Amino acid sequence: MPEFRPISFWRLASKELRETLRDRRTLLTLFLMPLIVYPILSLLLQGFFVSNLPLNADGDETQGEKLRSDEYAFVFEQEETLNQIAGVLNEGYISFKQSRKTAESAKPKPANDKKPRTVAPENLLAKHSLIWPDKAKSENVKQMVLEGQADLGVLTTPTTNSDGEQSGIEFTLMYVENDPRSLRALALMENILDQVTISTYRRVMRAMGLPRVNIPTPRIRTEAINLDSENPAGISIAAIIPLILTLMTITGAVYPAIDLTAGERERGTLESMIAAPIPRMRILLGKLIAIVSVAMLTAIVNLLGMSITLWVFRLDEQFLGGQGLTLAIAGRVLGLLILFAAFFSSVLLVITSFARSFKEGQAYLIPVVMVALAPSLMSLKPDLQLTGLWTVTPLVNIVLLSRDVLDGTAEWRNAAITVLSTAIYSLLALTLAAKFFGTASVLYGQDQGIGTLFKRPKRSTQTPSVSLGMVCLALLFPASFAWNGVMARTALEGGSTDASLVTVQLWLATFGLILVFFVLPFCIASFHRVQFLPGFGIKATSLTALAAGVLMGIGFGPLLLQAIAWSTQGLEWLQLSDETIKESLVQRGESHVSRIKTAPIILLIFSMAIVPAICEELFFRGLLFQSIRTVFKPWKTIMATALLFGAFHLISAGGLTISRFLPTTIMGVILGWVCYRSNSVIPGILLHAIYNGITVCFAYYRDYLVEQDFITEQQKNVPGNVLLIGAICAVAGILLLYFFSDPTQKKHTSSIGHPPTA
Amino acid sequence: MIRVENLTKTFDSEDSTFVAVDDLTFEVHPGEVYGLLGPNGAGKTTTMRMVLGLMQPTSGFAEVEGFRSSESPDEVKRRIGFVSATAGIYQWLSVREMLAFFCEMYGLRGDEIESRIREVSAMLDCDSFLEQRCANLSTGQRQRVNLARAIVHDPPTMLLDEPTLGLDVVASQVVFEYIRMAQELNKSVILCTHRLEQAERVCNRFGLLHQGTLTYEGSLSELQEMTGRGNLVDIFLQMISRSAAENS
Repeated sequence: MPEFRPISFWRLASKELRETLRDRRTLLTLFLMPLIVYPILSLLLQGFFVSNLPLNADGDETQGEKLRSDEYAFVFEQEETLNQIAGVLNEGYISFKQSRKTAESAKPKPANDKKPRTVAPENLLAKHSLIWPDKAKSENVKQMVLEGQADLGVLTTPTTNSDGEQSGIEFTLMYVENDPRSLRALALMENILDQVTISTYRRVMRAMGLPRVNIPTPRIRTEAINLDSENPAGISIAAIIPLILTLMTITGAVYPAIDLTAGERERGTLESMIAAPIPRMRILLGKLIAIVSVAMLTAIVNLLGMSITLWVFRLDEQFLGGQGLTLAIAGRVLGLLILFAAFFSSVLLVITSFARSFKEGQAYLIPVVMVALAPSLMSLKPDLQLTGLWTVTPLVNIVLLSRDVLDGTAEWRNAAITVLSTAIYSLLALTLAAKFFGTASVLYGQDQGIGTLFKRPKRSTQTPSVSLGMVCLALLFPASFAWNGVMARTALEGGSTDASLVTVQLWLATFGLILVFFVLPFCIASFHRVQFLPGFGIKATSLTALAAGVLMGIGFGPLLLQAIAWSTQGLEWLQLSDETIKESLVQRGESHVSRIKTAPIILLIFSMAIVPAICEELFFRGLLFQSIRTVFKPWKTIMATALLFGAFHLISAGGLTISRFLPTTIMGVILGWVCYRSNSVIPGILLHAIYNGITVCFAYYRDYLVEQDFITEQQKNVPGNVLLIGAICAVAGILLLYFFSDPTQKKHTSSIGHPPTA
Repeated sequence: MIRVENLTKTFDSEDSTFVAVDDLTFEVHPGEVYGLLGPNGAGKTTTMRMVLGLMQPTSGFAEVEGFRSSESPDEVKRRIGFVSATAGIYQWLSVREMLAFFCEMYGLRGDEIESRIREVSAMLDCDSFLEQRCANLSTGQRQRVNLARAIVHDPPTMLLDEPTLGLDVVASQVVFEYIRMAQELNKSVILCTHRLEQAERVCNRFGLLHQGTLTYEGSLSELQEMTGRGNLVDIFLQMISRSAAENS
């Protein structure tokens, strides 16, 4: 038989897309909303906006009615000021209007328009309202503009020259940044002030009792008043968009998610597909790509429909501020769409994978949609910040991130944690979907369903399933994050170098590590009847493998320390412009080292070398490695666990430590390879413990090494001779493991080498 | 070649265990059409699914061309053409698009796909509706497309589970003609059907399955000799009544 070439994800996705997009029901979802719903919604919204805008100063006309007019209300600090400058402003206004008329009359006129028109010049006072607050205070002027009683605030302040003498006046024009009407009033006042001649300006100064000086033009200062920051109760577009994104991506993804899983099962096409020699994960990925595409397409068509409707009904400025819909906003929304679509599509896919019919799929999804709307509404709460546990809370984190991204207040560390955790949750959802999608239980309606995930199996197993690994991973990520938060808080609140406090914190960290990386996966594995020793990769191994672990631990200690130094230097170089970040990183590192030095070295080695080596290896190269190994080839398993190992180390008690990612991932690859070659986690534990031990000792005895002239005070790189010894040891360990161990040997393979196909 | 050895499938519920297939053993050689016959619920479809690797056996195994279904399901699937009564077709794709998709699913690429679609559609007389949307096909045409879908990769073994269910005599004829053709092409075929008279015409050997157990196995003449009955329908009825008597 010729070599088999499996179909690509894209070809699978292309078939799914073709089928979905030809379906009338999809087209209905795609185009019904933009064509019918949005225009109706916009009409309602327009009515809502117009009727809900506040009354003007006189109270006899709504701002809504004035919204379309070109009559503005200007508020001055007090009546006296207004009296002093009203005449001058009026002159400027008349001059501005005349200059516009002149410009218009210069334009060529139609041949039949022979009669000259004589219109009396408009009067500022007659056309617009010039008002003042009850109490003369600049704050009151601001308040009146904010409350919509006036379109523009005008403050006049005497200015002084370098000798301290009064030299002129400054006009401060207060406008609302997102209010197009206020912006138009600002433009008008600027034009008026531009028309004020020097002579009239001097009259103002004289009226104000100021000395005669040579000032060419009045000084104008503008002050934007941000409606959102001044009025936290207000709802901004940044808060509404996440809600719209949630609704749109769900709307777009729901139908294809049900149709491509439960629908296919019902129509009998799923069995034919599963009968083909394609891994279920590949089929599922093809379906995921199709669902994400349709969800995005629906959202894009909806956004386009919405934008056009807003533009047609002139609601774009109300929603998006004075600038309307810009390319930057569109780009941000598109980026967020990918995040939302990927998340919802994988969640919907996992739920519909359990469903045996279209109806059952719908029944499963209704509560999900309801649940999804609650976090989306949270973005409307302006005081809720994307920090701490919120960054790892599914859905809430992406909703808050969208709000911050659109506001331009997103913080990159929290954004990175949000994207990373969302990726992990989506991956988990997909793995769970793969476990159930197309299985006999779903395909042939056996008595199994979503409950089997939480059902204790009757028989014990030596190998954890991939879904079990993913469940552990999804629980460990927020747990680890929460524990790091606790550690960061205790470190900050008890930031002294008091030895007893540091000791308590070290014990606390050790306890947390055991709890998160050992107790939690152990409980989950025990519940699913995974045998402890083989399930966590604890297998007897050869002395050669143990020796290789020791040698590699000694060797990779200095090598990876150097990798960390390079990684940190690289980041420092990348962040040269941001001195604050650089300084905080350096200070944080130095303060951490100086604090831990107060604890006994034995405790440090125990809590920072031995315990992490045992707990992390049992989870990453034990339970997780074996669970992933059931679906991936060895090198893919090594890479996947290494990347996850690196990702977990991104988050530390001090925040996000990017510099740790690369060295930790490299370390993960090495440890994964050692586990694969030795068929046991024990050599990896030795390697990990020795490596961590060397790192701890290097930090602990750094001053001593400086005293002994082994390294210099400022030296960040590992000495060359130490690197050479490290390289020799590492190579020796690798060769030993490569030539004297066999990953396929049967006596150690019950848990690692050959996963059962069942 | 298909080899089934002590194949057993049980389904556990809260308080009982149901044996769907009980210790089944048989072989199907190249060029042989094996009729797996039995009443509803006898375990025929479950057996087919286990042979194909869609369902894990509780014990025993099934082998296709030397590959065990439970150990190398993908290798087994590459070597099997599977037609079931419940198999659907993609409503929104044309027949050509659907066949091309399954060609790709079975590893065919480029020109191979076009030439194989030509061969298969000529073989099953699908040329006239190749460009039509599957939703617009008649029942007989749909079943022909289903059969075409199952043989696009030219598999050495065929599993046909009630391939003529719901088809009229003329439409069924296309299926039986293909079975004869497959036999001539030296393929190993398992046929599950209720149409005993048709099975009698096309099958070389028979396995009569009742309540998960293979009650009789052999060629028609061997079965006639064993039971003293003249045709499959009588043999079948005797098997059922004997079983009912044993149960009572």
